This record gives sequence, C-alpha cells and structure tokens, in this order.
Amino acid sequence: MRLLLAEDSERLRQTLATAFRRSGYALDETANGNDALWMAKEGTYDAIILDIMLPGLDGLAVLSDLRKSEIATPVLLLTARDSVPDRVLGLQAGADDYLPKPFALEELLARVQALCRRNYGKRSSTLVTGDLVIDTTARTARRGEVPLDLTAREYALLEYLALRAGEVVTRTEIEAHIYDELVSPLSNVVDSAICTLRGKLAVSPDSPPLIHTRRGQGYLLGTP
Amino acid sequence: MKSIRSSLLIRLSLVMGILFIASGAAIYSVVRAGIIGNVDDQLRLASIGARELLTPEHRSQRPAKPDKRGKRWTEFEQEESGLYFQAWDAQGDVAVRSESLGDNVLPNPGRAGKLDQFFTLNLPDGRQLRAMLFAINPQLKRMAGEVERSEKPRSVMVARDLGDVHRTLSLLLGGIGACGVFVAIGGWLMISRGLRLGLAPLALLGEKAATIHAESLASRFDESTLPSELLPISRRLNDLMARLEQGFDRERRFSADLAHEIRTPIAELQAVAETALRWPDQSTPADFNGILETSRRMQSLVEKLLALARWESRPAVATAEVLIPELLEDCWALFEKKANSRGLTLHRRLPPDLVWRTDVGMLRPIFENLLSNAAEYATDGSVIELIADADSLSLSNQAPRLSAAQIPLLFHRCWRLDPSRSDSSHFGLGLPLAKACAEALGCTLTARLEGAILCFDLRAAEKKFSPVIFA
Repeated sequence: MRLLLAEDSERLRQTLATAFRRSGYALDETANGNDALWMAKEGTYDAIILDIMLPGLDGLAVLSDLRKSEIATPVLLLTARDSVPDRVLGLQAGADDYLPKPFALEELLARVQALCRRNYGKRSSTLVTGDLVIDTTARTARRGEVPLDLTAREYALLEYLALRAGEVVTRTEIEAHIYDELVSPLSNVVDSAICTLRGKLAVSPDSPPLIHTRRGQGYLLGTP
Repeated sequence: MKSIRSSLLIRLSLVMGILFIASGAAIYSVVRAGIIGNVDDQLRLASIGARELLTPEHRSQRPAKPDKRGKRWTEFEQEESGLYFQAWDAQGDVAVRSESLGDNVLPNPGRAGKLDQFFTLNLPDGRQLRAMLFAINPQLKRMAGEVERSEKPRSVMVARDLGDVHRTLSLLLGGIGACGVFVAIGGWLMISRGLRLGLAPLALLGEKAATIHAESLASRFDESTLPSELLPISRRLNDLMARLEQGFDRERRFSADLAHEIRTPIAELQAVAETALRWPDQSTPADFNGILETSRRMQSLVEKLLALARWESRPAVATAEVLIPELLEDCWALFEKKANSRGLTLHRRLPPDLVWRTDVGMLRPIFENLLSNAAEYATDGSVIELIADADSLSLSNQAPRLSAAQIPLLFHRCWRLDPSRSDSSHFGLGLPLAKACAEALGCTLTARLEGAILCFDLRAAEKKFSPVIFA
C-alpha cells in the first residue's frame, strides 16, 4: 500500500513516516500543501493522510482540488481542529475520515488500513483466497492452518495481491504501491519478491500454487 | 417581581378612578345645584302666590293668570302637594300656615331681611324641605281663603318638599355609580390592552435579549422597528453585543490557536512513544531527543502563558533607575547573531545616558519581544530603527507581508501571520506579553504600519508612570 503523508510538523511527520514504513506501507511525505496536491495528482496512492493547517495551500483546499479533479483516493484528515463544525467541513469537502490530534498511533494505523481496504471494495478485515487467509488487522497470513512467516514488505505484497485477487497486477503497479523508492525499470526486485513469496506460500509439497504469472502482463493471485 | 405593565396598570387605574370620582362628584354637584336652582325658582313663584294670598294689593299690582293662580292656591291647600308656606308676625309668632302643612310647623328662622333667603330645613317627620324666607308688606289688609289671622304676618316662608329632588339625585347617583363600574371594568381592560400593545416593543426587546447567547452574538436588535424611547437602549445593546462578539471571537481564535499549539506537540510525543513501544528494537536516541525537544517547546509555551497571566494581572511595580542603552544592548545580544545572519542592522538613536525610572523586570520582556520580532520578521538586509527619549521608545522595521488589517491582531494571543502555524519556534505570545508588561507599567504599546514599515511605539500613558531622565 502506498500512502501520501502531508504534515507540516517535522517531528510528527517523521515519526508517522517511520511507523507507516515499519507497518509495511510505502510512503511519500511532504510538509507543504502545494506539494501535497501535486504529488496526489501525479502519483498513485491507496490513501492520503492530510493535515489541514499546511503552509502554501491548506489541507481543505488540497482536498477540494483533488475531488474537483475527480481523484477519489481515500483521504484521512489529521488535524488539531476537533470541533464538530470543523469535522463536518472536512467531511463535506470530500474527506473519508477525520482524526483529531492528539491520536493513538494504533487508531491511525487501523483507520488507514480500513481506508486502503475500502479502496479495493473490501469491507472485512480478513482476506481469503483458497486456503490462504490474511488477517489485515493482525497483519498475519496463514495457509490452511500453517502460519506464514513474512517480512513487512512481503506481507504488504501479499496483501496487495489478495486485495486484487482474481485480477492481473502489473509489475509497475506493484512497484508503485509497495516500494518506497523509485525502482529501476531494469530491476528484478518485484520478480525476486514474488519468487520469495511463492516459496513461503508453498507450505507443503502438495500445496497448490496461488500466485500465477501472466507473461507480458503481470501476476495474479487465485486458486488454480 | 415588579412589572412595568402591572405598575402602570395600577397607577393608571388609580388615576382614572380618581378622575372619574372627581368628574362624578362635579356632575352630581352641578346637577344638584341646577335642580335646587329650579326648586328655588319654583319657590320664588310660590312666594308670589303666597304674597297674593296674604296681600291683595300686591296681587292687584301683579295680576297672575287665573289658572296659575288657581294652581298655586290649590297646592297650598292640598296636604300632599309638597308646597307650603308659613307666616310669622313681628313678635315671631306663627300668623298664618298653609293647609298643606297639616300638623307640621315650620321652624322659625328669624326675621326676614330685605333680600330673599333660601335654605334647607328638616321637618320633625324626617322630610327635607327647601325654603325661601321673605318679608311682606306689614300693612296687611285681609287674609285670603281659609287662612286664619292671628297677627299681621311679617316674615313668610314658602317651602317645598325635596323628596322628588332626592329621588332624582339618587337616580343620578345610581347612574354615575353604574357608569363608574362600567368605566372601571372597561377602562381596566382598555388600559391593560393599551399597555400590552404599547409595551409590546419593550417585551420584544426583552424576548430578543433573552435569546442572546454565546452563539448568537452576531445578531442585532432591529432599530427600524423600535420606538424612539427604546432606541438608545437598543443602540447601547447593539454596541455591547458587537464588543462581546469581538471578544468572543478573539477568545475562540485564541482557544483554537492554543489548541493547535498544544495538540500538535502532544501528538508528536504520543506518536514517538507509541512507535518506540511498538518497535522497541528499532527505537533510536533520536526518538528520545525528539521527545525532549518537544517537551522543552511545551514547557516554553506553558511558561509564556503563565508569564502572560502574571503580567495581565497587573503585579506590583518595583521601580528603579534603569540605564536604557545598556538594557537594550543586553536584549539585542540575544538576537544579534540571527540578525547578522540575515543582514539586519540595528540603528540606535537615543542618549547614551538615558535612564528611566521603571521596573526592569517588566521592561526587559518588552524590549526582548520587540527586538525578537524585528530580528525574525524584518526583510533580509534591511535596517531596524530604534529611537528612544525620556518618555517613549519606538522600534520600526520593514514588514512587507503585513497588511493594515492585521495590525490589531498583532497583540492577540497566539495570533500568527502564517495561518498554518508551521514554525514551531514561536507561539504568537511575544507581542501580547510585551503589551501586558507595558500596561502593567502604566504605559501603552501600539503598532502602526506606514507603507511597508511596521512601527511599535512604547509610551507612558500617565505622567505618574512616566519614565523620567535620571538627573
């Protein structure tokens, strides 16, 4: 999952960026409203965490511009303004969620996760594909009764494929949603990660493969 | 609880009652006087008849119509006619009485004078009479009819029973009373209704005032619909509400700004702590340094707020002679490095031995905050002008981003030029603190914008607080 974090408090932005990255999210960050608008328009994000009081262009203006541009990326407003009129204003401007400061990090992560899930039309926190069960709340996966030992990035890749189960996911999409840094077009980082993940999903010799390669297109998660 | 309407209703009812009673009494008196006047006229006529009866010479001089004469005669003869006469001789003995008197005897009022006398008298049987006493010619020749002669009559009294008059007056009194009841009820209702209508604007004003609360201070009393008597009140109320609205807005803005100043560092602390707890093996000293730095920033904020509260409560001033150039140098030293890095120059124009008698503890925060503000916001490479004399100090610097409308906001607590409040090194409390200190010293601190030059003026507001040159 790729997130955009727009927050002008440097310490808070850095801390949240660390927390999101450690939770397996790819993340871009900015302290300026104008930059946030540009990044949201140019990039592909699963959710945007937006402060309202931003220098340059305030968060509500960024949000309104995004919605006018028909960019439907879920937006969570993170702000010190906690009055009911402020919340109503934010939600009416097109926000999908509103979290006033100070907040519990756990709650922010859960809300962002729910936003990302809803972005792919999933309401349940459990994703099931064949005998693969992913608990997005606990951020764990198991194949049948066998738990899978995944790194944060591997989990993020598997969750992303599971959210789009039955669809062909291109390498570019995987790079955009899972990897923080710009990945070289010649890099085989995605292929390598898929290979590793396939190995971890093969919990027994008779486990049917779940990740299928579509030559020239990408990868598909699904039962054979 | 006193009510204007009840009070007015009672007073107007009382006044109306008194006026009605006075009017009724006047009407009754006038009518009674008129009726008595009529009776007196009738008595005069009757006196002519009596004269005719007692003095034929008089009758021959003033012949009366036969029917009238006959009628007068008849009334004196009939016992129930209510018209009587009685004559006394020179010795005061009854000389003649009309038959209509029956067994009654009229009391002797004394000798008649030259003028006719009218009075009211009571008979022993309780009847009240109106009487006229007059003198007749003493050369009485003969008596008329059945009137017997004992002595020559000298004084004659004709009298008329006032029974009819009393009945008429009783009817009049009853009518006035009935009218009084009607007028009392009708008047009370009309006054009550009139007062309700008349005081309706006042009631509306009261109702409108009762609906005012903190969220509706933007509303105003509609002066176009109010009577002129209430206009001064509504104008004062509108002025008051405008001031209250400004005050509430200022407090709301301060609360919101302060909330932002406090919430963001708390969120930082919470996020850093939760991240460290969630991934303990990945926490670094930088996390703890961040917590420390944020804590120090919050401490600074709290200290500034406490200082502001302390100066706003007008603490006691401990005056001493303060060498102003020296104090300014001390304060400027705190910001000189930053000012130099931005190419700012401080031009000082003040006597080198300028001394003020003031509280240095309050003067220092003023100088520090004014100089800090200039060092922070003056245009890079510009000049900061400082001028001071015996009772004032002015500090000016270029401030091209500031508008005239923002000048009054400079002294609002937690106000910042940058609405995003991104710079965490300031809280927007420096200038309010400086102003609070200036007011505690009995001075004024004002700001003005001349073109793109922002100028702060510190002046003694009252002579007794005025700093003076040390002699």
